[in-house]
Amino acid sequence: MSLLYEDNGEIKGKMVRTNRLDGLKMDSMEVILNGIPSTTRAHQVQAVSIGFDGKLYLNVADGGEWEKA
Amino acid sequence: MELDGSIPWDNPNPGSLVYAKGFRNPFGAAWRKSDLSLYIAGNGPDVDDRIAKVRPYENYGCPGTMRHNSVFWWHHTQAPTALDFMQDEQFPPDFNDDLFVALFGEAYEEGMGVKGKRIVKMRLNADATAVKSYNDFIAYVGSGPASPCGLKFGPNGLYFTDMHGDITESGDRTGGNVFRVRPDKERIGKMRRKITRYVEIWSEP
Repeated sequence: MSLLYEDNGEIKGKMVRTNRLDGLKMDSMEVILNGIPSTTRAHQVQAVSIGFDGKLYLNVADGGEWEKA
Repeated sequence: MELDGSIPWDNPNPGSLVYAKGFRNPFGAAWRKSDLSLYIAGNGPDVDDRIAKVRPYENYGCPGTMRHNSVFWWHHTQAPTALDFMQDEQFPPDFNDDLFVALFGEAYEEGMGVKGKRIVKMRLNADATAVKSYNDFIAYVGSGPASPCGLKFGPNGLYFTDMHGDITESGDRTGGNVFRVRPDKERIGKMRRKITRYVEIWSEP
């Protein structure tokens, strides 16, 4: 899953691996990728998918701030 | 990237995680079995939201155009969010490989007859460069602000979420919901029998 966080006033995204026993709360969290430039605008949502090649794919690119996209 | 976040040896640019570029607000991602490819739904600026098939090395035009290398675009923006293909027999075979896309519309818009607030069904052409058909599959008909957002095929159906929630007939506001769309097997069975009956009639000498 992808998350947003604030680091010294800068908005960044991260992707984490987690698991849950009851489906309601995270029982663990391992950071896969950190420090992705992001924004607090509407489109920072980043789809995470695993391809048929077994690789991990992450959608990024908020159109509101191109220098970060 | 690899599952641990490292860069695969065969990425387009050695040392970079970038697999393809030129996207703008690529909300949704879905993997299609029939061509083993990733498809995304992207939101444009004031015009041109799109569906694109993602190929390595490719540039998808942004900033600049949302149309470059796209399969389909909505000139009048609809805010496509999640998308998925019917590829695990949740629906009858006629729906095989059809693409379903949630169109969110404007953020918090009450009622119906406004932008988006529906799920559309598309069929792609053979080389995934255009669509052969495009239909409304589900449309919101209430008075609340609910809009479809998440969407994915899962066990025995198509699942989707709405955001902002609904207003019930008694005026109560709900939170967001998770819905499942399942085929009505009894009705489909009846339709099939009817079709079979017509075939029998027409095939009589």
